[in-house]
Amino acid sequence: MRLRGPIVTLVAAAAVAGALLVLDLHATGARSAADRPASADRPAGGDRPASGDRPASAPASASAAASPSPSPVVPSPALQAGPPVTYAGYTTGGAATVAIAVSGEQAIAYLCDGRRVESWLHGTAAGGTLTLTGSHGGSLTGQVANGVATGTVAAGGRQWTFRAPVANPPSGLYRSSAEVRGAKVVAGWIVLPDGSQVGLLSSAADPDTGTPAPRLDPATGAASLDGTPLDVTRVDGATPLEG
Amino acid sequence: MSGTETTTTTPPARPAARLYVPLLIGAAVCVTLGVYGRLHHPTGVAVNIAGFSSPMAVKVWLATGATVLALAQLGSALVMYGRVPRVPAPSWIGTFHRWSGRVAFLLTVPVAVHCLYALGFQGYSTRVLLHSLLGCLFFGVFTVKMLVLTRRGLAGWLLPLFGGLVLTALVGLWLTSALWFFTTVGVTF
Repeated sequence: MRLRGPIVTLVAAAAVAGALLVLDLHATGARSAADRPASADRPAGGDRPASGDRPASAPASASAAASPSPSPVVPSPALQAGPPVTYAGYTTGGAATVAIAVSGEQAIAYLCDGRRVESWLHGTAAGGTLTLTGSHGGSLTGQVANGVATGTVAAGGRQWTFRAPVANPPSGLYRSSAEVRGAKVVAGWIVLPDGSQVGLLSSAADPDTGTPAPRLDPATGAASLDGTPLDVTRVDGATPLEG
Repeated sequence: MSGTETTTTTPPARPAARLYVPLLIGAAVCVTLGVYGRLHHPTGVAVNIAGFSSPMAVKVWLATGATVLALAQLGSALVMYGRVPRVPAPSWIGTFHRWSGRVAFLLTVPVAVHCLYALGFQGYSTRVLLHSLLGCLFFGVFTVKMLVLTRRGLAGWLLPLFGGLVLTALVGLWLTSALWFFTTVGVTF
């Protein structure tokens, strides 16, 4: 009889897991049903939050999305599917800038203060929850809701909170990985919706010493370093971060 | 998965046959979790325990509790097997080992459900890939260990082997998640 104990342990654990899964399906199933109409009436590329576009005749679903629900995080309808979205904004106090490019469930972020601190981060944006890790001890956690990404970002032993609204082209996140006179360099630019830009350039051989990046023309994607044109791409969440 | 299967070749033929079923079931658990984690569309949220600053903090502390208890498993197992000099096994050590193990395993279940349901099997960095693989391995090996307990006539070293694998997988899981969380985000509740 005593030998049945391990089986009981396995069955009990499976039952707990099953119960949790049923609760999860219950909580998120109700949520996605409430979200589906919201994502349908969201205009492509529009930077207005979906709840703002919704007619006033839908107060029930609007309050369901905005009020505290059983799930700990209010999900973002914009992230369920749809085109890539980039968020760009300042950390609290304005010391650094953050850009987060989201494509489906994949996300790439860049934190940069234009002087010393920078980090390229890579991770997931499933269901509106951002979970990214990256270079220089970088980590970013946050949520996306109503067209704004908020959360906490850390790199180089420091930590900030941030708020980043949707950044439509030409604003957004840009990156260049190029070879200039035999040295591999990586440059990143965050172009904010107000047109200002912050960027750093570092060499692959010495990634901890960044210098301000050369000016980027966001309209044409052109930038050059010491006369050598750089190949600049606008990053979306699925862009590979090589180098 | 393949690592546990290769052990079928080492024991002698008769007892090895008794090991096929536990290994096959364990491998099935392992593969099922991985496939589910890969195919299920991660939701980003799942039911969790209230009172913590974030769902991640909940998981970090549950995993830390499980890992501490797992180290107690190692200690109590060493005492049971008489491997600790001058410490005779007290009569309650078996009960302690069983129940601390059950509690430890129970603590890992909500963590794993959250991982699989909200985040899924991911491989965007070495740490994350390692964590995803170890997570599947842990539940597979634990299943094997439980089933091996119910089978008589198996080689005596099998139980310590699978127990050790369970502990190794759990410590690896903790290192690639909770320790990372403590060092990058901080020790928060």
